[in-house]
Amino acid sequence: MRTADNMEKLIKKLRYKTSVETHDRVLGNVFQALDEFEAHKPSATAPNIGRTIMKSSITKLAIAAAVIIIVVLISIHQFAGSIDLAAPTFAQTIEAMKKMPWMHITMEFDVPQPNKIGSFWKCFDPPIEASQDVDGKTKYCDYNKEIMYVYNPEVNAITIGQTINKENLGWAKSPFDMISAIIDPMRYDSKISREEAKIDGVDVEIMHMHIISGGGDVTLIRDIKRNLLISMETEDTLPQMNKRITAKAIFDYPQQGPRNIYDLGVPKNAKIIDQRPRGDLKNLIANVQHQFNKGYGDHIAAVLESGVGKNGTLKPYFIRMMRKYGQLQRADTYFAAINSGTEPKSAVNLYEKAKNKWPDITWPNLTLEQVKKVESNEAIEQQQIFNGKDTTIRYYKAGEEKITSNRHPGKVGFYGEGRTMNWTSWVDLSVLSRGSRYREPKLKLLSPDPKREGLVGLEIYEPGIKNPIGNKGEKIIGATTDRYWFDPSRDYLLLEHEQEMEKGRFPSETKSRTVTLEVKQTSTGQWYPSHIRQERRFNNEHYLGQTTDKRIILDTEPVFEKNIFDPNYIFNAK
Amino acid sequence: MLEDRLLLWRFKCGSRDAFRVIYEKYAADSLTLAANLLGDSSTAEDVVQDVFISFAKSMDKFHLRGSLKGYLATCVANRARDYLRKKKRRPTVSVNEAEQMTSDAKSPVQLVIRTEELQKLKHAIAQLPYEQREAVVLHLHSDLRFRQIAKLQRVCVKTALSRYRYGLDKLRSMLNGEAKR
Repeated sequence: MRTADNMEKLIKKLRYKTSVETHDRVLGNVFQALDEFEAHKPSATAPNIGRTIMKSSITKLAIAAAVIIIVVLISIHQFAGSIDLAAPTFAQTIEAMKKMPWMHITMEFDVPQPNKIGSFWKCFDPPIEASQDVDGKTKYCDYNKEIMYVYNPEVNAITIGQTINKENLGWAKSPFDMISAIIDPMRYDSKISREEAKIDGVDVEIMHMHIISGGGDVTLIRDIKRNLLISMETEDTLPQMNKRITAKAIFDYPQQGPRNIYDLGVPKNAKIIDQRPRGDLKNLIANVQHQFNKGYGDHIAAVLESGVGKNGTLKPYFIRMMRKYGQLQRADTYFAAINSGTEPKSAVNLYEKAKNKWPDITWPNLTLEQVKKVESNEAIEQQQIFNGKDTTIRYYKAGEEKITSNRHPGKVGFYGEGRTMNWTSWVDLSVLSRGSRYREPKLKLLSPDPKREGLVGLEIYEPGIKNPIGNKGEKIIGATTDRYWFDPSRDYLLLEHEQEMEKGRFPSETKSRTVTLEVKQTSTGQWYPSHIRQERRFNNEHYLGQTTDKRIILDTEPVFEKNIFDPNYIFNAK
Repeated sequence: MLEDRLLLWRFKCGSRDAFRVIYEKYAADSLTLAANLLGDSSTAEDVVQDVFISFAKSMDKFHLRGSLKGYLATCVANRARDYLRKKKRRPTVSVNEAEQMTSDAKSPVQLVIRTEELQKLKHAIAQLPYEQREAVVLHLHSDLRFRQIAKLQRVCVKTALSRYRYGLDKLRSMLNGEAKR
């Protein structure tokens, strides 16, 4: 029969197995009792320090993106920005983390079952990043040398590519910036609470954000004594997937990280494929990036943006003003649509103001001086002002018909067309170095095209991102193909851009084509696009497409009004 | 441990899903413990349900000091003892429960043998004095230390350890066909 040694083992095997029905019944009874209890208990002080600040229309995407980003460290353009930290405590934590020689992050999903996704290493000085997935795909980037190694275990090969020195980037210099950029939009629409606790003998601070508008939670745990982040976890239900997803990142700080890709376990007999751009491709990338980084210096630019009707008529949408003076910068977007049915009823309309002042003007034939004379904070749809220390962001809050304002430390959100002229005139090719294992871009020079005489074409293909959980045939982000045509004789201006994005969760399938119809030179001889037309087509039952027209006026010898980069500046004050 | 604290924190902030995860994580262990203490699966479900209801209702003031698993096991043990004290019943084992016991048998023959062994073990456990049964099950199923069992039973650690050893000896004797008192 049973020996003495096996008795304990046998007893441990005695498990009670419950049916799903029993499980559901018991849990249902628990929740029902809890509902009744909560319905009858006196209202208690909420455990959270609730603080609702503002609603962000991008919050839901931010949550979904946060889930993805923590796991795959993808640059989501919408949230890129310079370091922008949610709170002084968090800011200090990030700085403390940067002083550690190395940082190591382990990432995992929790649905449908615990599923480790991979690991990530970062060294700040010298700037090195490495990542490894559970399937063995490994990446090692040395930014000082601007070189990137990617190992694919399926073919046992290391591909060497070029990366951009991140110190030259104007934004998102590290995963911390991305984490900060994720956290910051969310905190404006969340209830934030903090609690101190002891976990495994360590004094920690737990910061919890519950997102109000879209649901979802973010929890950060900080080692108080060392002021270092221990873990970050996000939880949300993604409606498209109809699943509750928890993504977790655990941080630790080793003295030494991987010195090269082989230290991560990549076999020494892996084949080497060197795909660094050479010759013409390398020169093109370098020249375009140089122009982008250089920009226009101090300037004021006005963009008159229209919707194009079926018969070619231009309907005013927005007037955008972009100003830059040294490091000071501001970008203002004003309502200009009249009787479109979409403009807010109570907002001041800048074009209407101009028409009232100069009845004979027609759209889009406004001058820079005319726009400056009618500018008004009451007409803003969106505004960002960096005064050298922090950025004030204002939004027209639809539904409540009022303008809300918030302040962020550092320079935030000067990214993309309509906010900087750099993005209007060129492309930031440094995005290529921010790809994750899922989005390794493939670049190639396009063959000369007789229809685009004198232009140099570049194609960038980024594969889609597959769903790491659940339905693995599904793509979260579809594959993207961008084709750019630059004019070497005009400062490598971007004259034409085609994009095809295949269907994924974010966004739906789209095709777009942007053409610069006219170029001009500034008084200092720099080229800039003065007339741009963009067509976008969506494979979406709700919205088929749009055509946009932009007229741009650029002044590179601007005279700025005194204190115009002060967030309290009032236009045309008497 | 960290995960439990995060789940508790989320539940405190209003997330029912967090509580669902806690339940799914610990319900089976709790039911096993209760069934072994009470010898009755139906009563075990009631006890576990009561434990989780009380746990949920007390969340506002709850502060976890040790492990959540240990805490829930302690709650189940206390609730089971209270139930037996009120009912003044000797726990019994229904024949059908043997089918509910999981087994790692790899073949039908092994399954029959293993099921029979587990059934005998179940009967034997039910024959143990309650304090010995509690010590054995809490230590082997819920991973409680003897210090924790002693505190629960309000005895010294030595006594808790003795009850555990005597319980195992008695089980070995019963299963080996030697009746001991």
